[in-house]
Amino acid sequence: MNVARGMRRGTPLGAMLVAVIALASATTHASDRLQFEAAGRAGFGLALGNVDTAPGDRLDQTSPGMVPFGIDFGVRLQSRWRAGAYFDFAPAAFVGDALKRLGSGNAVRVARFGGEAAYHLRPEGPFDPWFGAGFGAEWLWAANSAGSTSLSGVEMLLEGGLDMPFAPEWSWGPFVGATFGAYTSLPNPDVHEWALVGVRVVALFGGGASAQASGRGDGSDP
Amino acid sequence: MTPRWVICRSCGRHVKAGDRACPHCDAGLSRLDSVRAPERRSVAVGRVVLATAVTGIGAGACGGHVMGQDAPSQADILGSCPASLPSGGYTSCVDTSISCNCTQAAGCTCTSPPANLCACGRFGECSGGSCVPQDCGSDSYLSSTGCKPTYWFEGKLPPTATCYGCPPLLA
Repeated sequence: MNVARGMRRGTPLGAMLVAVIALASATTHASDRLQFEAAGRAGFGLALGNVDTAPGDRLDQTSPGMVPFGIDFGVRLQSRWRAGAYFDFAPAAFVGDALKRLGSGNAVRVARFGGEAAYHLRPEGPFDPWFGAGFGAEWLWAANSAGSTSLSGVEMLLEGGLDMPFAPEWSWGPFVGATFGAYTSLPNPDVHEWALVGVRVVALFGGGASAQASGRGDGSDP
Repeated sequence: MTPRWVICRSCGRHVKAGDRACPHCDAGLSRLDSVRAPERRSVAVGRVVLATAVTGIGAGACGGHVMGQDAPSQADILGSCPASLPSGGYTSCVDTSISCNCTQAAGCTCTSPPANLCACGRFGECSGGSCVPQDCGSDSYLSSTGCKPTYWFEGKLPPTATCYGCPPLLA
């Protein structure tokens, strides 16, 4: 009753309680359709766009590319919908020409994290295409032997991929993606992109016995 | 012979065409509307994937950079000099082989009329008898307030020695 009263009043607390109760209820009544997912990924990111509005300050002058390693955590609802968080870190991104000219000991590191929602088109099939979108934050560190400095900003993520089961509750597959970001720590940020391609390995767990029977890798599907 | 596959509308999984009941959910398949063909969905999947990829690549190709946003004004370059020379240059110059319209032009002495004498703007310099933007070097650009470093880390990241093992340069 109090919750309903809170909703009528439009309080955030009431709305949050209703959402939590609804999710818990859905979990209880449809536990066979809720699973948790963890994924590891590695790939390559190509730098595009500009760091700021200064002519020539392209991102590839700082770093033309990176090899990010990442992990994803999330939940699967009814096998198709996925919501979760992503963390990517490139400990040794490639060093751009402009940074190299400053001298020796150059290094670039890139970290990204955020939230993502994705939709799986054929979760029961042997080939499961998916696409998703998310928002997050990005950090870029640049350093040489005399010091370091960093950038931070926001990003939007669009990506898609193909999951292929290779064992019960396990799948792997390629993914492609693109981030569209701006380093808002700069006074005149411009739009830059990371074009991503790579491979990820996914583990599904939870959801009870019916999750096992949900068909990932089920040979009865062509 | 390869069996034809259809989709059970009850559970959404593949079943053999002609089966009386779904082997996955036991739903009856005798009615025509209890199954659907899979082909149309495959086409739709392909379209969605393609559209996503094309959108991503197309958007990624556009950097969104605004050229000239911080560029100096023409007045800051040209100063009091005209933007273009009269055809053949100023005949009043002693050396008419030089298209002279800048007081700084080497080898050019304009005697009359005095209006020919001009000065480039604060961010302009005379080159070949014309006012051109001043040279800021390879790692800087000319902005509306003068030369600025091109790269975001310049000034934040000190230069170092460029050889392996050399001690860092002291500012």
